Amino acid sequence: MGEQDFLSGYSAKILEYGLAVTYLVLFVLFWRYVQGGPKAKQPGTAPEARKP
Amino acid sequence: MANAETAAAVQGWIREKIFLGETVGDYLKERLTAPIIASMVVVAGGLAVIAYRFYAGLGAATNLSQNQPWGIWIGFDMMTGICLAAGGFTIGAAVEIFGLEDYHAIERPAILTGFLGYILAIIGLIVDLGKPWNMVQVTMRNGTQSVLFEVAWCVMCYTSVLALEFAVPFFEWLGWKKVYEVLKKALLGLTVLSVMFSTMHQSALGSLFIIAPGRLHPLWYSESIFVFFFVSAVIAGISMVIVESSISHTVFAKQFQGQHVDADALTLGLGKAGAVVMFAYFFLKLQGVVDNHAVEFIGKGFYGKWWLVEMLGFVLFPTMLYAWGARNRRVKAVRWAAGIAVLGIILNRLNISVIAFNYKLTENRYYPSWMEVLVSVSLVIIGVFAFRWIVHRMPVLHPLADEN
Repeated sequence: MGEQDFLSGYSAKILEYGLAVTYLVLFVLFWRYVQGGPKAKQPGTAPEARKP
Repeated sequence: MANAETAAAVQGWIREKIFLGETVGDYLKERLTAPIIASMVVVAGGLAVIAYRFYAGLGAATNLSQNQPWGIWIGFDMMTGICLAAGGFTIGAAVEIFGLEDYHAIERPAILTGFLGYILAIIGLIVDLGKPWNMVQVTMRNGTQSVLFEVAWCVMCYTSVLALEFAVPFFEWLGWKKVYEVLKKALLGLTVLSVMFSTMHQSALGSLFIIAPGRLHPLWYSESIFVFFFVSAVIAGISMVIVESSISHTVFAKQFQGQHVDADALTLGLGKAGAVVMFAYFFLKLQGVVDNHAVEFIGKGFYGKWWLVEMLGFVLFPTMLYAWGARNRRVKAVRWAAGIAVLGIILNRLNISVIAFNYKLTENRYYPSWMEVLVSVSLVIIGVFAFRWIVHRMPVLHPLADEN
């Protein structure tokens, strides 16, 4: 493990918050990407099974 | 006269239910193929090694030492087996609690995989611990400050819950309708219990390593390791269900005939879930490294490069493959992503409990003995055999014939 002193925590905090913000921003883009694409039909039931 | 009738009825029942309506001779002749016989030889070897381990002790059968008391029986059979069995609670929760009824078709196979995974993990644990009769001590002593105590209780409770969940198709198969109806009604409650116990012990398995900051490499060690274990268990559950259902649809294709289940749509739905959870897991792991002040170790030396292999090759790559496959409706890509994710979880558990553990040791490093490997392989084969045997008889992949 890296050496720890009073100041080493400070840089870690910037990195930690930066990483969290990066994650949140990228997650929005990632979510939009995953949800996009060709329209999916309802999962689980084959079309012929849904006919009355 | 009555005795003769009873005996004939029992014989008929055994022939119908156990030997699938065939005579014992025909049944064995049809199934004793070369791969099956080879597998049986491996299993027999594994059982012989287990007997030897109990006779001669852990030191004689394994390469374990005071420095490395946990080997692949813990790292693979226990840590990985339990993690890969997480599909039971993941899919159970999706169907019974969150009402995603479309996934009902894969709930029973997921529960069966989970149940068998736990049974085999417990067998591996007993072989590792020795003196199985002492295990009852856990229930008699107050060890609430020990993580192992929590793991032991949760595994016992969750295996019992899984047994009750699996009892639903089991009693349906036996035709015990009253017991089946009662258990079916209790399924929601059982699922709630299974989620609770799984959450506790999947994370507790990670907590076991919190007391080893000096022994586990900083890139894998984190005070939040229990969170990583839980999130990765969800990934393992989703991925294992995709892998298992893909194999089942090929191997047990006959059992799916006449069923109106769109397996591809289910796979794509699970792939989407897998992508989102893995994406979060990737950043959580990075956060753990930053929090542990271990950024400087990334890419440095063998362990730094090995960590990159795990994170980029077995976390980030399957995440992107899951996302691409789910978005573009490429079922094969999602299946490949699931397979790589499963390998990644196995690699992660082995890294934490064996490879990156005791990383400071330069000599007398642990490598599993052939006997350890044989036992682990045997347990996997027994699991596959058991799954196959059950699926061919009980209503796991299909409804019973008279309900079709």
